Order: sequence, then structure tokens, then C-alpha cells
Amino acid sequence: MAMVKGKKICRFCENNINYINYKDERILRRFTNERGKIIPRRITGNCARHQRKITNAIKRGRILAIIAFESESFR
Amino acid sequence: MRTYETTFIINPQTDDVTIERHIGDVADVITKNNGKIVHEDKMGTRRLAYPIQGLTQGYYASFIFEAPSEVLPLLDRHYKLNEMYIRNLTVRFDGKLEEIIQQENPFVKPSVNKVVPAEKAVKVETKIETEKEEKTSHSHENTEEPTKETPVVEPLPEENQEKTEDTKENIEEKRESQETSETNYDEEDQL
Repeated sequence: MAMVKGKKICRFCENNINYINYKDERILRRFTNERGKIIPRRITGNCARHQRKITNAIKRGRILAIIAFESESFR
Repeated sequence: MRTYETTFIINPQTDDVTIERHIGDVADVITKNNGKIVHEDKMGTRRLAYPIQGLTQGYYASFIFEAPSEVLPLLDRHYKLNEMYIRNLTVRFDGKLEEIIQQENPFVKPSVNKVVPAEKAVKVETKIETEKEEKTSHSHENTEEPTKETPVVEPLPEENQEKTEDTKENIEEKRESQETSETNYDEEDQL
């Protein structure tokens, strides 16, 4: 599963996106799971550079209450 | 002179006049100290992801500005003294303004926006050819409104609307969520 996803191209590099807006909820939620945790790079297919930018944007978004630090799990 | 970005949240349980006054006060702090506001974004009242000071909603606004570094402690002081500013964040701005103006409609495929007005324009043209001159004036007015509305996609739509739009993105999200749920189960079993 990890080997298959390793061949994926980073969607940000594909579209030449350099700035990730931390105020945009849709992009930030795409890279967090149901509990609000950041999804690792081996699953999303991001390159290292954009994964770092995403993590910084998610952390800023958490401070501004755009996304939650942690959400309750349904167990 | 460096570019910075401040975002702040205002208590929404007041009049619109006081909210705009507080936004103007922040702009004054920047402009009175040799600053120049480059971009302004009022996102409006939004639901907070977690309660802050017992509130569940907040009015978001942000500025991108160029100013010397002496402005920053003045801004922090201004936020600290007034209780209406629930939260704030000042950050050095690394991106480009052109990307932001494009990203006001993020991950909305341009083909989607182009298809809808084109179809309506085609339909309108066929109607104009068939209808009389009196009806063409009304049809022009009716066509202009939807074409202006459809390309303007709100950057922060409601959750209900997100489920209906962008079906491909939903499929990708489901895949990712399924994968993450599987990984979570594996980690929890190991723990």
C-alpha cells in the first residue's frame, strides 16, 4: 500500500501551488483525519516540502479555531 | 518594510457598526505608523471549532500589509487592551498576492465555473432568437444575475453545501478517510 502510493505525484507540485492558506478550512480538513490528527505523508502522497507547509498551516488553523485540536471519537 | 498578515476574531454579539469600527481601528494602527494595507479580507461570522470564552461563533477578518517591524508590538498592545478581540495571530507573509487572489476559490476546478455560464449563455441565445424584442430585455437581466453569482464561490461554504459539490473530492476524501481509519485500527491494536 505504501509502495503504490509512493508513485503518486504531490498534488501541490503538480499545480505549482507554493502558498497554503491557513484560513481555508477545506484544504486543512483534507489532510486531517476524523480525530483531527494530521495524516502522514506516506498516505497523502505529498512531497516533504509541502507536507511541512501543510503541518504549519494546520497548526496555525488550530490556534485560530478554524479546525479543532482534537475531535471526539465515536468509540 | 516587510509583509505581514494579521487575522483576528471579534465577538459577534454586537452591532455591525461596532464590528466595523474595531476593524477600522486595526487598520488605523497600521496606517498611522508608515504601514500600507495591501489586501483586506472580511470572512464574516463563522462557527468556531472549539468554544472560546464561552462563545461558539466569531467574526473573522484579516489584513495583509507592509510595514516596518515597529508596528508589531503596537498591534499586540492594541489587541491586548480591547476585550472585543477574542483571538489574534500576526505572521510573516511568505506567499504572493497573485496566488491568494487565485486561491480565493481554492480547489474549485476552473472547468466547473466555465461550464455553467457557457451553458446558460447558449440557452439564452437560443431563447433570444426565438423570442420577441420585448422579452430580450428581460432575458438579458435574468441571465446577467446567475452568471455573476455562479463563478463567485464562497471560500468558506457551509458544511451541507460541501457534501453536494465536488463529488470527485468527496471520493478522494472517502478513500483517504478509509485508509486512515484502517491505519488507526492497526496502531490501536499494536498499542
